[in-house]
Amino acid sequence: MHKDIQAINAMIQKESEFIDKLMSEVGKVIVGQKYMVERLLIALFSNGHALLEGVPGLAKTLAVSTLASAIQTNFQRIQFTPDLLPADLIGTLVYDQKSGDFRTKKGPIFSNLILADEINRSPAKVQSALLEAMMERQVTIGETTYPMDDPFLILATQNPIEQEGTYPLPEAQIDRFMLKLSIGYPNKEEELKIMRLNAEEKLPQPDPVISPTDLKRSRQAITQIYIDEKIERYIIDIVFATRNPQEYKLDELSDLIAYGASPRASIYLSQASKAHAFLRQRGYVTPEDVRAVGMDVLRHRVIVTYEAEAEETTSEDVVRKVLNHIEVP
Amino acid sequence: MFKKIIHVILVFLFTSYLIYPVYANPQGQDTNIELSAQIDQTEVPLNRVLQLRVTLAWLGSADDYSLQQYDGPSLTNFEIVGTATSNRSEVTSEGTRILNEYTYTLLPQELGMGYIEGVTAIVRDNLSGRDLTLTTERIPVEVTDAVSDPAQSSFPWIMLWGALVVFVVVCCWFFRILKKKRQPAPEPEPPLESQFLDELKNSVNLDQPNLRENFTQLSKLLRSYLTSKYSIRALETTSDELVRELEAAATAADTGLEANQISSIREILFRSDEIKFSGLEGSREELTRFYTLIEGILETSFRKGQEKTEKQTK
Repeated sequence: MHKDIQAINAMIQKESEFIDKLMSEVGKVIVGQKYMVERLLIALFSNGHALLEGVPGLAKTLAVSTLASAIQTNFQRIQFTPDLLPADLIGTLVYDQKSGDFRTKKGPIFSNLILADEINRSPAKVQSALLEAMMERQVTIGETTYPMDDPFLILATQNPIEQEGTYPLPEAQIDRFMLKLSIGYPNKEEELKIMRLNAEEKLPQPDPVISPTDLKRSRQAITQIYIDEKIERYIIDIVFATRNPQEYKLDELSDLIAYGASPRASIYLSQASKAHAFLRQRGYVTPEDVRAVGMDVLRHRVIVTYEAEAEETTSEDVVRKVLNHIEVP
Repeated sequence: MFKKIIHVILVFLFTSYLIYPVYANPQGQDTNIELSAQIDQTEVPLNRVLQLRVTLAWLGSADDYSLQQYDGPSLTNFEIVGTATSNRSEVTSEGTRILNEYTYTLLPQELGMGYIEGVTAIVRDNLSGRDLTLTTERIPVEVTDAVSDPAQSSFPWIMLWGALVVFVVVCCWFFRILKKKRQPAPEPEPPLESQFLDELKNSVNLDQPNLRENFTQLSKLLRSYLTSKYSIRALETTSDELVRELEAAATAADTGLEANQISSIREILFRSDEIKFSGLEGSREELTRFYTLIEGILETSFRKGQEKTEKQTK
């Protein structure tokens, strides 16, 4: 056991050597937003998807495209509009006049890193097509099923400032996103750097750091990261506290939570914690890792009641209380 | 003869007219109006009062009669100490009844018999213009020996009982103080550091250590101590957050924690985390070292606390 752990630690340190270089290459183009870039990597390493909520102009597209360049993968941006059809997303069969046959025209979803911009602008059938591709990792066009490319990461965005003419994602669909990120404005110094950087003739280009093969190897390594039973129980306690707050002496939350986090929360919390440990080049998970990703994994999985909304208590407030209350192992 | 009969009849009618009021009303009163006097008791102790109520009442309207003269009661062996009047009307089966009431409070003068002589009132019948004299009968009242006042008689007893209760309370309080003085003063609660030093000795046996378990215990004990000492949420925060909080607290206020102590805490917490969560086993030397470091932190804090207390007492 002792030697295994040491071997895992050594392996993780070796496999995660590129992290600093990757962050630095992305940092050449993206000023600040370390939180968003790290969470994108966590989603990428854990084979999950992320939902991002933030005002326009926060370099979401640039972040994803830069990351795609740094890891040598393809990138697609799909703007969701009310008239978008599922076929526009996943592709369709096109009649070829020359051959007299139908040939498959794959949609923009067949890429590695996809920015699904303003996902709530499209009706439910388009959202459903996207979310199905996310979960199944395959798409059927006509009678043929096509697997999605690997890596396959969807970063969907929701615009929180305009609600008119939108189709909000149902809770069950939102649950399929591993992380929900809330992005804020950059600080003064960061904004100054952004301004100066964009005044230059051409934005710097990131150098490729890893290949998709390296990424797959990293994913393999992450599954080897040691997670102690104490940490596992800590995760379970956090998730259960959102379901039965009274059991954890959080009586004040019992009237505020309509639905607690689903079992997906436990699974994703464990996976995301491991990925976070990998980013920190550690071969084992600590409570720091769990707490670092806890809010991103749980904020969209805890549904608050009308009473909570009336009191202007958000799911983030509830999750924060839970994370600050549960004793670390 | 006829003239004689007529003359007799006229004489009879005239005589009847003159005699009628005397027979109909012995006091010469109209039957429609009456004057009455009532007392509330026929015997009255010398130190009590008597209520006399004189009522002038008639059937009809208030304007039927008007009081021409009223002198009040004539008394023997009584003195008027209070008066009250009231005018009212009541509707009965016979019609509207007008009542003028005069109430007198009478105080006896001496033992023996007392009398309320007749009360006289002269009223005018406004319809006929006749004056009527109304008189009540004489009322005898016996004045008896003075009686004791119940309120005055119970007053000394209340005072006595009150004094007794006060005496008992004072005695109880006095004996309680005496008892307290005899008892040894309760021992002051041992300082926090002493409690944790005891817990440290009891939880970790350095001679036969359980390495993985003991590192967890040391980390938890240190976190519990920091929670109790500095009122921070050391048990719910991660090691990194806790150390940052301690550093911030040390900068903001005088927590008594020195930089080298915070450094030791950081080392203990981070290395314990590594051992707790990585599956690695710590060494015995490390455990002994951490034990000594925690002991040192507790003893230093204990000593500082004592010095502070001594300074305050001086």
